[in-house]
Parts: sequence; C-alpha cells; structure tokens
Amino acid sequence: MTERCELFRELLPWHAARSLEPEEESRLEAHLEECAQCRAEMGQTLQVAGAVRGALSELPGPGTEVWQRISSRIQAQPLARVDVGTFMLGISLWLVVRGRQVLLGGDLRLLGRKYQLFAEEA
Amino acid sequence: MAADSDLVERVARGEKDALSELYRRYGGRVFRFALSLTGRLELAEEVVQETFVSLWKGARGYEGRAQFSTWLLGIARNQSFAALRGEDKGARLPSCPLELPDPQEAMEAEACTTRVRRAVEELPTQQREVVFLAFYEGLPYQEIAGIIGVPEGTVKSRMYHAKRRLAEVLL
Repeated sequence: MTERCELFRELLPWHAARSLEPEEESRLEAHLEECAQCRAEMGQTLQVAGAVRGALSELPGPGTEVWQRISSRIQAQPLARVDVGTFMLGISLWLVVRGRQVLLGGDLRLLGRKYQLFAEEA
Repeated sequence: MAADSDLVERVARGEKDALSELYRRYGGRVFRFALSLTGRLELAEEVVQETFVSLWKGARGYEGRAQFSTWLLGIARNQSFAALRGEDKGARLPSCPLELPDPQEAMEAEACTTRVRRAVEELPTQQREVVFLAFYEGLPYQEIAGIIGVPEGTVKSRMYHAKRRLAEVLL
C-alpha cells in the first residue's frame, strides 16, 4: 500500500456514504480504477456502511409525549406588534414574553423577504 | 416549504409553530443521534427535550454560518454528554423494535441487526458518533468536524479505526 493509497482509504467511508465533494470523488474513483487493493477495501467499506445504516435505520423515534413536554416548557405570549409599510417594504416591531424573558425585536421586510434586525431582552 | 433558517428566525421571535415544524423535521434525527450516543431511551428523550428547549431559548445564537442541522446536532451532542454525566440509569435500547411478518425472517433479521448494533455500541463514543453521522446521517467529514469540534483529519482517523474494528467484527 502506497502513501497515496493511505490518503484515499481515509475517504472510502464517505465515498460509501456518497457525501464526498465531486472533485474529491472523481480523484478517488480514478484511483480505485487503477488500484485493486483499494477496490477490495472499498467493497469491504460498502458492506460495513450498508450493515450499519440498515441497523441504525430501525432505531425507534421519540415518544409522542416528548413534544408535549417541550411544548409545556416554552409557552410564549405575544404582547404587542406594530407593522409599518407593506409586504414589499416595511418594518415590524414586536414584544413577546417567553418564560421569564421579555423580548423586543424588529424585522425589515424587503421585496417580500423578512430580515431580522434585532431581538433583545427588554 | 419554509427554509430552516426562516423557521429559526421565527423561533427567535417566539413563534411556537415554527419550533413545532423544526421538531417535526429534526426531532427523530436528534433522538436517534442521542440514542446512538447514550444507548438509553429515557436519556435520548431527555436530550431531545433539552435540545429543543435550548433551541427555543437560544435561536438568536444561530448565525447561519453552518447548516441548521449541523448546529442542532452540535447542541444535541452537548446535551447527550451532559445527560450521560448526570445519569446512569434508564431502559437500554431494545435489540429490535420492528416486527417482521415471517418469524424465521424476523429472527434472522433481528440477529443481524442486534449483532451490528452491538458492534457499533462497543465502539468508543468518539468513534461511534462519527460512524452515526457519516453512515446514518450521510454527513461529509467537514460537517462532522464542525459538529464535534475537531480537525477534519481527526474525524477521518476516528472513522478509519472504527471501520477497521467493525469490519473485523462483522465481516
């Protein structure tokens, strides 16, 4: 195994997971075409990746009560809101209570998109 | 469909519906990541809860430099380690939560799944999280380095050793 092989072998798991950037992927594929040892290692890596992905994909999700618990902890109450301008160009100021925090914030509306200007504890 | 970044902005303004949507999108991923790190169902649910409450309180801290999922999984990772430090109890991960129609097939699949999961669980935590993020989440090594907070070379090295260990056990 050459030093070049060692560098490419570090990338094999990400090649198996198809998450390499295109340029890196092309260089690795070119190397695999000419290196039988690394091709064999790639085959092994694909087997491991497939087995792990398959086993982990059967993991359960969170129970339905988890969101209810989160929801009960985050009650936020809007106190006031002032909108000036239109949907295409305008400014909003708002005040909300979240837990023990009171937040004052402002948004800019520009060409239909909303940009948050600030959001600070009041 | 609203972009994640727009939803985070709305969360920062205190809009609960936006948090609910982010939970719908990412609750399962956060839970499975936490489960892979803690190995305990109760702790993983606690981690999900703390992660989304942290998001609710700290959405203003998201600057949009990393993908939202990277940022959120980073929070979940910190919460998982905090939960592990504070707890040493809870139901272990069930060996096979799915029921398959054919008993023989079910037994074989369960045996295989259990063997793979056990092999992953026996990896050191630092290797296990890289394996989960790379093979299950399909994240590139650059993004994993961002979540874990280590150099990219360290991520590759941890994966190299993990994969070698898994190949020894499974193949």
